[in-house]
Amino acid sequence: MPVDCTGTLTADILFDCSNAPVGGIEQNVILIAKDDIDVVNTTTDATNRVLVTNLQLKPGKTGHLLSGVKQSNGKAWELVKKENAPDKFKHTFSGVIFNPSAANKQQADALSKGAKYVVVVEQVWKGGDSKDAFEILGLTSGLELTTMTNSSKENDNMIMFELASSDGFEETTMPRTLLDVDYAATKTAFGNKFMQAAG
Amino acid sequence: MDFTTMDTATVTRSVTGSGERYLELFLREYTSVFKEKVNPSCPKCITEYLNRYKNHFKTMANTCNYRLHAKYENIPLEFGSPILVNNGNITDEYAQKLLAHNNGQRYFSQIPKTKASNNKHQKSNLKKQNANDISANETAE
Repeated sequence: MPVDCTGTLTADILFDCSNAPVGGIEQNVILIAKDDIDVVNTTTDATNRVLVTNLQLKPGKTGHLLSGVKQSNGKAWELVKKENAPDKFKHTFSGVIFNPSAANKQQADALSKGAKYVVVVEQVWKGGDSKDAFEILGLTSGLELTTMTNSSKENDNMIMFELASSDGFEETTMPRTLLDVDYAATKTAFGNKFMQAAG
Repeated sequence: MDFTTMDTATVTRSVTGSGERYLELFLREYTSVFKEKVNPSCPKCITEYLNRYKNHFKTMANTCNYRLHAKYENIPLEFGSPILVNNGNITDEYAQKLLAHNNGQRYFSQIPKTKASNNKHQKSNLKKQNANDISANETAE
């Protein structure tokens, strides 16, 4: 039997009055090298492809914290229209490195070497039971460093950068929601930078 | 020198009789244990290093046979509980409570075999008992 991947709406799209929209993400985000993700043990909900139920890294690997202040870090995504193929999504993460120290510049330099990254953010809006708090950007194709700027006359000499899906290699879905059963467990894993002990 | 009994202020401010800073000695000790670079000019990081160092030795001293995956360390014991369970403070009692969470087994990298197999035996016995009950009911009908 031929498979139709076109997809149609399967449910109503409702407004939950008790969880009105709120902008922004929490200060801290986790950056993970895409190569460090254990794709076999990272699981997606069987009935909802935008819901990740376990984000697992390879043994001995960990994510890295980018600490922010207020809304210094941010995320965005947009539809990329495809003429004769399923549409794609461009994910963008904009971050700030506050201290242009040698140690931080070393990491910024590492970002510029071409590896792809996945970013996990915690939204200020968290949904009912905080089940929609966490989002993963770039899980399928990864994000690349697209801009990195510094000016002693602007932004207090901070290093500003952006990671984004590269053109032509966008994501198949919007940023996926991460929910490891409940908020407490997901937040704990986030706080531990999804660290996986060496095998 | 036992850094596990010191607080951050002691480590950062004290000096030995021979003029060596505790901080330098601690960071030397820390890097020899964890084999990673440290940032001595970051006060928040020093606190984190000290906590990690203390937890490392608590974990080694803990004889509980349950072990949490690194990413689930400091998981709240129950919803809203102030107790954060890690490999340093985990006990059998805490482990049982965590196992009672929805899919709680995923938290653990190590679960004692005897208890796991006991549970399996209990489950298989329960299944057998249920099957016997069902067949007994069917014959009765």
